[in-house]
Amino acid sequence: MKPFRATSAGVVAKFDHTDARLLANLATQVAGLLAERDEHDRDPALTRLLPDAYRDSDENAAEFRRFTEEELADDKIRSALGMAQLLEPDVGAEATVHVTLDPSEALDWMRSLTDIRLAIAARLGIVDDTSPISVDDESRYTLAIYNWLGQLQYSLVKAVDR
Amino acid sequence: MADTLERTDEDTDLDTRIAPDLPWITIVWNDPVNLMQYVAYVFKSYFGFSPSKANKLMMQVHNEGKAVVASGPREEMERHVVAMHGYGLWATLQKES
Repeated sequence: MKPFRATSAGVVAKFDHTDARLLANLATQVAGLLAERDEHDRDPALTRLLPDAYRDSDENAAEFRRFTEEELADDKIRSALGMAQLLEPDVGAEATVHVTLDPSEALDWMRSLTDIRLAIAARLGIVDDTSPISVDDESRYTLAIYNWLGQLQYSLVKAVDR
Repeated sequence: MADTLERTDEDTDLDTRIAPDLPWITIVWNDPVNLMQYVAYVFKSYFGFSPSKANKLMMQVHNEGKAVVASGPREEMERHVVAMHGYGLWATLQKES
């Protein structure tokens, strides 16, 4: 992966096909998680993606959710699926994927990268700045992906915010 | 616009920034996931804060665990909160205490 950089055509990045497939897969998973959400059975990732708007009143939080959650979730789904679509190789399955983002797509990508990282962090049990992280093999792999996504996000913010 | 933002910048006292007739506030809470640069970028691009004000609020979230980023009518704070959730930031609204 070449991190994002700013060009006259927009912000651009290059992904080899395995990275592109991984990222598209993660974006699709987050979209699926949001699409299949069940209001009575919230997993920690969903709680973080669609948090309560009120800390001091469950009633207000539920009311707010009733009026805003669907649109917010749909927006996140649209953004994540848009990312997955831009990561589809247009030549062959093994080809490098070149991504060029206009300002609105760049914003969508920042938001979706954030959502993916929030979902992974919830899975890894990263809940505050001092959370211990388990080091079994699966977590180590997931953590590596999480850190890679952080670098990608950082390069995108830097490319946009100049 | 820039002039207004500059003046707001100089006024760092929360108590005087929040007018008494505007009792609702939007709070952004620290989380271990969001990058500092991203949080500052969101504050700049969404609220239109100057880089120095966005940075100061971001550092306040990071160091103190939270920051009040807006105050005003309840409906407006609700819009801000849902927008912050759209960016993946952890935000809530409440009555100013």
